[in-house]
Amino acid sequence: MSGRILTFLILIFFMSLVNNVFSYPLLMISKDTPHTITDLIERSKLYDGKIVEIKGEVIGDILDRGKYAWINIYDGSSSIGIWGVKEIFSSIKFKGDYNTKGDYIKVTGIFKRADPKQGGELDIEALSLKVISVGKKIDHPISYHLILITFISSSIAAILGLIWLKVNFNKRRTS
Amino acid sequence: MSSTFIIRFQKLSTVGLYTGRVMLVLAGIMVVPLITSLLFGELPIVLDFLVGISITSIVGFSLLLICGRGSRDISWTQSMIVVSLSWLLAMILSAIPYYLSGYWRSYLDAMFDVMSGFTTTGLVLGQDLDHMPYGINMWRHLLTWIGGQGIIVLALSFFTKGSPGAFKLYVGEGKDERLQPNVINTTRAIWYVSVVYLFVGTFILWITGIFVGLPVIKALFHGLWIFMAAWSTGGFAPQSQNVIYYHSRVYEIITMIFFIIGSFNFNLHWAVWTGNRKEIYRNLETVTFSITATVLSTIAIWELSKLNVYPDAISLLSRGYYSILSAHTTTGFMTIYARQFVLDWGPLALMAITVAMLFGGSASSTAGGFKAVRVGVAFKTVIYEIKRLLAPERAVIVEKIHMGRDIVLEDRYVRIALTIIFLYTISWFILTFITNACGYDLPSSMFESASAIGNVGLSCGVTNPDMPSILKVAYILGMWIGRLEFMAVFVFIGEFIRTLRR
Amino acid sequence: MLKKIQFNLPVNFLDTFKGMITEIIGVIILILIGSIIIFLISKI
Repeated sequence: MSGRILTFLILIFFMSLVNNVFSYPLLMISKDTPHTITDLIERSKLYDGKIVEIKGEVIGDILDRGKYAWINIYDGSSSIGIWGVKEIFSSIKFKGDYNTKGDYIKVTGIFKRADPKQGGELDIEALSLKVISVGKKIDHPISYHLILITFISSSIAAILGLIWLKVNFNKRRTS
Repeated sequence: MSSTFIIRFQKLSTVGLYTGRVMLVLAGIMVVPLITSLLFGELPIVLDFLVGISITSIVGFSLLLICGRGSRDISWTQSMIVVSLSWLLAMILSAIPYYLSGYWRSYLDAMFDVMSGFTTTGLVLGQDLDHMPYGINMWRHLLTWIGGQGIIVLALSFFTKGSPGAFKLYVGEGKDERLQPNVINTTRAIWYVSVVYLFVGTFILWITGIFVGLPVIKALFHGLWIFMAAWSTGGFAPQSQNVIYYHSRVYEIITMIFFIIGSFNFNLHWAVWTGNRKEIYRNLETVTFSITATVLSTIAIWELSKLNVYPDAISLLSRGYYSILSAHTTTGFMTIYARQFVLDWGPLALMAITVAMLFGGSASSTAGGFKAVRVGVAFKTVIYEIKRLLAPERAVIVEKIHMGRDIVLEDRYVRIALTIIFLYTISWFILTFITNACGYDLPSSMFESASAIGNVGLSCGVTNPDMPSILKVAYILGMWIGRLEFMAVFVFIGEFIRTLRR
Repeated sequence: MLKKIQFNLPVNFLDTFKGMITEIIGVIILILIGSIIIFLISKI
């Protein structure tokens, strides 16, 4: 008897190491894993209703809707909206914009081609989220070329402008 | 011999004079995104705009200095040339800040987006929109708002101050109505309506943006930009997912209300704003648009529902109805991802939305396509011909249309309407053929071409930086011809050929 | 209240306001009609 219980306990121990299997609801895990967001959109009928795992950079804002929230992620090919309970997104620090590279995250959730809970949007309902690499500020150095072109073009423009003003001023005097 | 040279030089001088003025106005407009960049500390972008302003000013001042002796009297032909030339130059010069910012893969891509903006189309080749600086986004959206008002109208408002050339320039632009007896006052009337709506619309979208979850400052700028894109039926948005980014039915509905209003004829705005409110349901265009929009939507939604593309009424409304109206008003805001049109929608729905794109919005507005007045005239003509067939030989039948007042439907109106519809259709066929020849399937080709010719902006995936360059050029021409409604472009080409022959 | 706007257009604020409301309501009615039709279709 105790031998069986011991085996059972060891089995459970090893299973729990393999990624928290018991927290997944009883939905099919997709055999084909989408590589990119574009793939998700292209083969939306294949992935519809399945649990998928997708990675991307958080861009824009975390849109607070009271009970839940939305984020958008971009993986270089396309963007997609992800919604879920607010707490899931609490680990996100950086959101991408001109000055910022957003957190690179991995999301596991239910993909919907036309989500009835969200007015038919193509989206992912997040079940779990992990920040793979934290974002950072982006530097925008000004190149020497740009400074040169700016100086030259604005100088010429100013000179021409002054010439034109003079010509017009003279015209008005003589008319 | 030398006298013909002098005459030709004087004619060119007039063209140069007016074009130069338009260029200076353009340079002035670029100050707005420059200040925006400054406010947000986007220094490299500030320099990008300084270069753009400088080079545009150089072109403007040069033209004015060379052609300063040109007479202010401008013929109809010359004004058409000024319009076409200004559009071309504006396309080249406005792309400078885009290209320098680094978000466009080539100068052609940058020019494509400029033309898309000015013609209020909304097809996008710019990359990495979600990391775009405020300055560049300001330029994108300002371009489409200004384009909607017409570059020429702009120059008229600020520069000409009563010179005789004003009316001819105005007609060349593709707006052939007269709101006020004096064309200068007409342009001011257009600005009045536009600016009032700009404040009201931006405010409403700003507040909604905050409720939707955007931070306050961002909500304001997005509100401004989304309004500009809606009012001008342009369809640009500050994020790569277009209107999907906001994930909000409320935000979607508000954009829908504004883009439909934006597609109305300016004459209608003026009538309703000066006491004649009944015009809103009597006008041929609002009636025609309401009928065609409802019929086409019903057809599309019926198929979408039958094929279970969307699960419930709200979804059918937000994805289906929204898309059809976005297409019919030639706005181009998207609530589904581009490829979903071909992947999810059935053939009937695709046909309905393509027809909606071609029919377009009202005349004398920012909308594109055949225009509701011509569609209305075409339908009325069919009714008239049927009545004539059924009536006794000697009966006199008069068909009337209502646009501000009752107008008898004369043969010449019918001829012009049908001619333009025919020209649009031929252009659409040609562009579809070219797209298909580049390797895209027929439904996608028809969809995207209709989007370009009708200045819509919805995409099913064809518009992409990887598309062949020849196709990009074809689409630039298509958008341009669609916006200027053939006239100005034909005159330009005609004059060009005539000069070559001499 | 007929206050002439400085750039010489024959408009007054009351008419402007009423006009804008007319347009917005007109569009809302159009959208409502469409929505009702869609709702009916989705029930079939």
